[in-house]
Amino acid sequence: MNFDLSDEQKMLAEQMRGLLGKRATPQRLRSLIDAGQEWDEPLWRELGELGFLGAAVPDVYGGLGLSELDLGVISEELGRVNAAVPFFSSVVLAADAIGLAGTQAQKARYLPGIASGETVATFAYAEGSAGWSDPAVHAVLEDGRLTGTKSPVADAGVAGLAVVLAKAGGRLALAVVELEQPGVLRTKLESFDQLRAHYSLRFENAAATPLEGAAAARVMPMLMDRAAVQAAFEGVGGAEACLHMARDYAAGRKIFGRSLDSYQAIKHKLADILVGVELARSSAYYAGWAAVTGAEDLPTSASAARLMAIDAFERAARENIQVHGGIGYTFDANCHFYYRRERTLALSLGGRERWADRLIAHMPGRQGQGNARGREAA
Amino acid sequence: MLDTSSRVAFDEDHAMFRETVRKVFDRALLPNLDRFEVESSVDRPFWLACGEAGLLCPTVKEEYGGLGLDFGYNAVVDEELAYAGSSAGITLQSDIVAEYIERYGSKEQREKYLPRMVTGEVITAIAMTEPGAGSDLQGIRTTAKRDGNHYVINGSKTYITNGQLADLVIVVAKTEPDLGAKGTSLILVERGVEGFERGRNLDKIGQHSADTSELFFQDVRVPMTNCLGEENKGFIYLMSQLPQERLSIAIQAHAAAQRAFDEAVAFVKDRRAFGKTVFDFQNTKFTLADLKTQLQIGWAHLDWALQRHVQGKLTTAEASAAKLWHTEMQGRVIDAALQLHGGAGYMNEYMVARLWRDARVTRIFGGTSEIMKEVVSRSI
Repeated sequence: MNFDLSDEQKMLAEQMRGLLGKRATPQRLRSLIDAGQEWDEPLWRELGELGFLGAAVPDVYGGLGLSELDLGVISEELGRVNAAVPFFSSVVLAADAIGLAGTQAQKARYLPGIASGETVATFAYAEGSAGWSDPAVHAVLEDGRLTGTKSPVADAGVAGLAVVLAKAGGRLALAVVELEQPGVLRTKLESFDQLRAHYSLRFENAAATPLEGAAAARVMPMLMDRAAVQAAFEGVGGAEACLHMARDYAAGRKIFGRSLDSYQAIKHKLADILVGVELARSSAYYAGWAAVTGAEDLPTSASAARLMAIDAFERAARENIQVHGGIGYTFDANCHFYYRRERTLALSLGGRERWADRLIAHMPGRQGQGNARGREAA
Repeated sequence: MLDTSSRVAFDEDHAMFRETVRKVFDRALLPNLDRFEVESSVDRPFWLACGEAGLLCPTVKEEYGGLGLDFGYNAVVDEELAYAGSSAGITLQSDIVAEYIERYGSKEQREKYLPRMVTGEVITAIAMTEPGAGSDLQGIRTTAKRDGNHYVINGSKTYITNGQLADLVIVVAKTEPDLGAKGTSLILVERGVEGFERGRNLDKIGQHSADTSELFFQDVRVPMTNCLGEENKGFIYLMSQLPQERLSIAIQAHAAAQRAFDEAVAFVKDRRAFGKTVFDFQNTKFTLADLKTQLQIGWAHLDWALQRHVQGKLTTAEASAAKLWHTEMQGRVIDAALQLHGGAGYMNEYMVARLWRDARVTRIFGGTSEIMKEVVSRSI
């Protein structure tokens, strides 16, 4: 089996890296924050025009029909530059939710807009600290009307559309809701990642279109597994960026008469980060392959990739600041972009515990044991 | 030599006592250290030498032949023994068994055993663990059933320190099996009683100087006066002795870690690689700095715990936290000290190899680290 990326995927990565290296610089991120922007709209449009936003959307719905691994390549590059675009919300979560749960007609209605970037969508699943397991979901969907509160919802300030997890007749249900309507109240939440703003969404009898292609209870675990794979790729990109930042800084900085990177303590630190990044990358590749093939071990491989990526990015983001020393703690250095994004990413989709539980529950030999599976969130 | 210059739990009398301990160990322990390892046990002359010099059971009152000192003196012996790299079972007798006999024993029992425990003529053990019962003492299956004026003991014990040498064993047995833990008693069984057999001196990863054994009891008849303290109170006695046992383990763990550190420092300052001493590498210095920091903090904590225990204030949760932290730290420190030795650390001729072997069990015996966390969490 060949575990390397294909030549096409390598080209895709290079293309993305070339574009983002020019467009999504730290200076650009700073100017967006200074201007109070929640996203980089010109970059989003450009990514749409080049087809990246529809990479994994089937071509009949206006996408490129590429695989989840290709999408992973894009996620990794976006993570590398900490890009201020709602890719994870719109393309990874919302589009996939519609793709998995929608009818053909619903896919035809929503996916082309998301694939082109014209429509920005988000996925509203959590309900505060209660999370999004079946008993935690209280939003109610009835006769095409949605009532309830979802929070936090990423990128809801720039999204026009939300796929919402709710209950219909006591069962989990997914519905598409236009956010520009009287029954929707968006409240921005104070958070530390200015470039991935989170909102509370209050729905009061809002018009909603139930996704009727497949049962939400069946779709949710798969959707979350597939999103976890993309989050892992994004984390790997961010972690590797931190590694390179730390390496470059240490190479240029002189201390006690020699360069910082000549010290054994720094070299060992960088080596530890690199080991974490490589392990996380391999896990993400494997989970990406499982997502492409629909392999039975997607739950375990996605959970493993998610956990490895959380750990690798956490270590890389923290140690990057430590290698920089005092300057790393300032707003002028770029370390904090990754430090913030790392936390945001680590706490989205349920944190480490949720994925550790899922991994254990699906370990080979545990499948028959209902208890373990029952305990984890759906 | 163990540096005690910055310690605060000890006074000048302790320091003089420590000098005595070192002299005795120089004479009776260090020359025999390797032989004891090979023979899988220390010998009786070593016990007698310790007894003669007053190292055994220092807390026992003078009327029973002891010195009537505080537990700080036990701590001195614990530290010096562990620092010497020995796993001899004298600390079990001084820190654990003597306390049981003196505190819960009848006047006859105290007079019969304590003076000879102090001299080393009587070697003792306490038999709790069974093949199917570790920290969960409720699972004990050994029974002591009444028959007239006697108990009839049946069952088997394992992992018993001093098992081969012991002249007297405190056996934890069920006198009222239906009552669970509340039906537990401590019964004294002497060497030579019919039906009491010693099994193998168990083959262990480390602690090769300790004769850790299986014990078997088949219809062993002992008079009811051999019950230590009140019948069916055994579980309570066991629970109330836990702080001292765990503190004793913590002290020995820390002293052993200090020895490993001192060994590593000496080694890396002597050994050369790539044109400089191993100590000159930043990784070595940083590793040692990290270990030294942990050791310094640990000694401060031990002194605190020791002082609290001498004042009778150390709680089970605090003692358990101490055992948890110091034994886990011992594992980390000794492993790192071994790594700094490179290939030599893997050779049994180096002290650090023995310290590494001996350290592994301290996270297990006296209650595992996981049990320690359970105990600490109950106090939260």
